[in-house]
Amino acid sequence: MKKLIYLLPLLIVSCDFPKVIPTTFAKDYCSCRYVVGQSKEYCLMYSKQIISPTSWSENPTEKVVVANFITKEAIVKYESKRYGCRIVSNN
Amino acid sequence: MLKIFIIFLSLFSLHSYSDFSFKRNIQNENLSLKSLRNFVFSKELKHSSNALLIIVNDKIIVEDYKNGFHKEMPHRIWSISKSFTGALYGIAIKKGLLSIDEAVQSYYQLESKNPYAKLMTLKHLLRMSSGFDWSEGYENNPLDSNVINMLFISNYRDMATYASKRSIKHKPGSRFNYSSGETNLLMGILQKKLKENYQDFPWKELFEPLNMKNITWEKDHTDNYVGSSYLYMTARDLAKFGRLYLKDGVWEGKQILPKGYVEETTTVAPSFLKTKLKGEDNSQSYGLHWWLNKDLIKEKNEGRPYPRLSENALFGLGHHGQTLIVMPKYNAIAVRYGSDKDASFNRKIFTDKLAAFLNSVREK
Repeated sequence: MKKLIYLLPLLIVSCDFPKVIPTTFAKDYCSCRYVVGQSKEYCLMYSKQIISPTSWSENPTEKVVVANFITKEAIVKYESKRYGCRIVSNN
Repeated sequence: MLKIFIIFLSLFSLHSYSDFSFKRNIQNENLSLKSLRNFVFSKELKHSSNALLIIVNDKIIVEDYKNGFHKEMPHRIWSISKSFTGALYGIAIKKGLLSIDEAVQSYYQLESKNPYAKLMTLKHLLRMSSGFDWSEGYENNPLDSNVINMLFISNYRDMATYASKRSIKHKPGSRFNYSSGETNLLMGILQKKLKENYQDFPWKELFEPLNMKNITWEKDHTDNYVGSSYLYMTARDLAKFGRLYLKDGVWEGKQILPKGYVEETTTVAPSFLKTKLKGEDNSQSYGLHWWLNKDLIKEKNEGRPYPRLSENALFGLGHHGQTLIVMPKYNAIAVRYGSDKDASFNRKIFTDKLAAFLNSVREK
């Protein structure tokens, strides 16, 4: 049982699941800010899930949002008024 | 005197009703409207509403916004997007571009050596009855969710192909299983069929004819629109889409959807009658990418999920409480936008209060 507890973080980090935290945050934040046009405060509240990203940043000029969780990073970019935001990468 | 004259003019002047530009404020808020508003915008309940729009006889009679939203601001409609995919298929059928009975395998390679693969048609996808093995769980079950995998983890680049690669567990048409993958596969098929005309198709054939001006539809890396989840529009624009179905697929005298398509949309998918779903979901029913309010007492021992509304009401329902209701009985459309991450918006209470209000309007 103890071994499993020690192994659990390693299992979580090695699988794809942690990608969901920075990716949902960055995607939701990008669409909220640049498609919907909501305030930064509202979008932060809207985009945060039960587990928040460990860090994130926004480039308002390029309309790019980057979010991190443990070893995973997600990048989402606003494309245009018609096509909104799209996930660039999450590794 | 001038005031009375202005009010008189605003009441009787001609307007393009399809634009819903004629707003009638209910000056003396009656009890049923007060009760509806108190519920929708309650500070005590857990849900959080961003917009409430009610249109009766082509007139806006209630239009409220909260949390910084306003009538020009688009909102993500989540799974109500699916009903737009259903409409685009209606338009493609009307134009003779494809047939609803075509095999899915003509467009995407399905599970090889599976005898069910060749049986799957576009109609099965429109009725969420493909037989694909698919788990549609968001926050409640993220570790075992195909939809999260498709939208956010490893398969966001080509969502239609991801959906097409799922194993086929059941004979197509035998079982209902709500799946965002099926909608994105439908959009992928439309993309393959329309080729270079695909990108403008939703605008040219649907949004522009309906005068929907403020639309965003996000795409995956194959330039396929995410038909399951990623459409954004104002409450008024969504109401225009509801009006198209209210008017049996006709917009300002022009037949947009093929004749009989709305009727087919409101026919319960046969697979739905054969499938026992968990809890309240069992009383719901589904047509061609729209939720229905059918009485299934005989078939499933279930009454209408929204008993105060009639059987011919149509529902576009989305994540976080997004709701579009088309109500032919009242010649009415209702839109409710929200951000309820915990699925706390009780649509049964909402429709109870909405029906009470609409009855009070009709009595006047």
